[in-house]
Amino acid sequence: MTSSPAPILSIRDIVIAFPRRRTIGDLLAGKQAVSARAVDGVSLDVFERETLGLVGESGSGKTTLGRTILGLYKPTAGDVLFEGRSVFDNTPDARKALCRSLQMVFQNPFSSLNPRMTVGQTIAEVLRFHGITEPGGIKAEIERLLGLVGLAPDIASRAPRALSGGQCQRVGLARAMSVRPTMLVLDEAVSALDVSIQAQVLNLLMDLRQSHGLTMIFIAHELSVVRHISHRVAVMYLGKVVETGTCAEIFNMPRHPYTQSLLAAVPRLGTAKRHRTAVLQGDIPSPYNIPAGCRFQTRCPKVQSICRSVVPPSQRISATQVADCHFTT
Amino acid sequence: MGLRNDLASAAMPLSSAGTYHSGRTTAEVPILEIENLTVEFRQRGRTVRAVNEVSLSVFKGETLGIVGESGSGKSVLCRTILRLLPSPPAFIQSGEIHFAGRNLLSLTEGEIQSVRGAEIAMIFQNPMNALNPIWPIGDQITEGERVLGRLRSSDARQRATELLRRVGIPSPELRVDEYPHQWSGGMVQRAVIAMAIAREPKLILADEPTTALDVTIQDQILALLMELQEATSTTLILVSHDMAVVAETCDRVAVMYAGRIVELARTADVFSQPCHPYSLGLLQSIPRIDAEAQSLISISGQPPDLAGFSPGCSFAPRCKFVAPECRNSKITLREVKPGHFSACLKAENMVEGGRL
Repeated sequence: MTSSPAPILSIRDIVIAFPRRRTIGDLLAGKQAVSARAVDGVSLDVFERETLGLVGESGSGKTTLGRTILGLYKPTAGDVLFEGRSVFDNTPDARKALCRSLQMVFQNPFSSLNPRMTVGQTIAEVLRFHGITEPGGIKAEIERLLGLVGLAPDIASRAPRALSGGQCQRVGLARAMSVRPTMLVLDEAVSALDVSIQAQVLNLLMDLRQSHGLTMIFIAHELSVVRHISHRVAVMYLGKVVETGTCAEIFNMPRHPYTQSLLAAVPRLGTAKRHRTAVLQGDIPSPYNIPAGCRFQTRCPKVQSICRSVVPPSQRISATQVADCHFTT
Repeated sequence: MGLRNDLASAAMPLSSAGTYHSGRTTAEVPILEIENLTVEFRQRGRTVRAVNEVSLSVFKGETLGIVGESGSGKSVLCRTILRLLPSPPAFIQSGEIHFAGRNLLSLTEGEIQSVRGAEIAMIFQNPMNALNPIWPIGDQITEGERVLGRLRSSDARQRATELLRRVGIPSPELRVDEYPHQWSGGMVQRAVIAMAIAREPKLILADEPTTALDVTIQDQILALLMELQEATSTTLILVSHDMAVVAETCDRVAVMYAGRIVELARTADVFSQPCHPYSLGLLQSIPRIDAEAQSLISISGQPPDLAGFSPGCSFAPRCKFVAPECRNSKITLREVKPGHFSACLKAENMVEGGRL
């Protein structure tokens, strides 16, 4: 799936740091300002019509990276190019053009809709703002969009509170699709849903991807869902991408110890009750205090002395698989 | 202090009353028996039946999983066992819950208070909400024992340190005085577990204990729970929405839908040969981590509105195998194979054919 010549989206050495506000006490004590490097030097290419899965635990920076792709955070360093143009170009025309092609679906289906607007008003606002349909055609377009995501037309007159979580998530998707985007960033778009509803929305996403030729970045913590929907996967840990590869490579032949541990920790349906020993000890370190050398060295089961001082280089495993580890074998 | 002493003296004789069903010859001795439990919520003239005619036996030393989606009644069932739901709006419409020779539902508030924590403990979903943010963690772990006068304040810190070491907190003597916000979610959940095991309960109710946690931390917490359970032969009820978590940790599983138990059997049997269309549907709608992507077979429609009771099967509107009689026959959980219970009228067909 990486055969397209030029990437549609190119993330280049992006760094997003959030400074911690100093208290008066800190100032008096002469403490230096510290910042959390939520995303710390990530480069990724996304090609047309592919779905890139972005996985990692909380605090890995996957949501920050997702929002950065839409230009929602100002980068400390680096750039993100969408169709060759920087997403950080803040002129109104450039922002508007970006929103016409690149849309986001958020995690919480309720809080991402305005509770005081009906579903129809929510979608109509987007259609009017971008001048997508003639004013007379808005009602028909709303019905078309609701049909696209599998909702009945009468949903348009309802408020979000009258909808279930699955229905709200479909409305969020209809709103994103209303500008006829070429690319969607889905941030934990099915995480809040029950499994029977989650399967409905996953199937819908895969149908839409097929019928509209969509490129997707699918951000999720749940590995089974990512495996299901992605062509390629990037695994993040503490602000860095530690391994990328095709879905088959990541799930069948993971080479980074973190990816291996993450996969080993996932409970599986096929296994019987078993004696468990935890795969990884300890917690993900604080982004204010990133360990020297390899970021995973504090928890890595294969740690050597070199890992504690030298940042591991990106090792190319295959044409499509890269792992940042000193010992990838 | 008077109240505290009353509670302490009430607790003493009860803690030795664990001879229930000791005459049974079978190895499977029930420690908890729920009979025909119905719990309703009534508010603003609306009645919602959250738990509907549930009967369930939990055997000594086993891990029983309760799975279901949001609104299936699994948390309400758990909380009713310890009578933690405020009434109103919750009303126990019918049923009995037998534990250690008593019906928990007919105990006075003082008597049930002496069961909570001492004999049945609970681990809640969101560890950060389960602790008080303004008290040190160590104080909260031993609070139950101190309040009952079982532990002198001077010994409490030592006791809290021991418990934290038991649940795998590194250098507990340094961390016992810290506050919840200083700890990560996984560590706080360990502290909550320490609190649950502090008084050596016979039964632990764990309501989605790992749902708020990352997968590697979930792995640690499940390993800890299983290790503690084996070491102390405590009985554990694990409530979860995650079928895979239940598959790996539980001996038996109860699948809940719309307030009812629709299937109950040994874990391996439910997962390899489900005897209820809802369980089958759930299993088919879960993406598998260990298999190539294939189209998910989703369950169509929405979970039912629990406000309107219908006599028939609640799953009928979403069921692929629905027959006319499903909509109006009385549905009961019945044994369709030895040890395998299903609430589906057509369960026999599923047993024979593997699939309906």
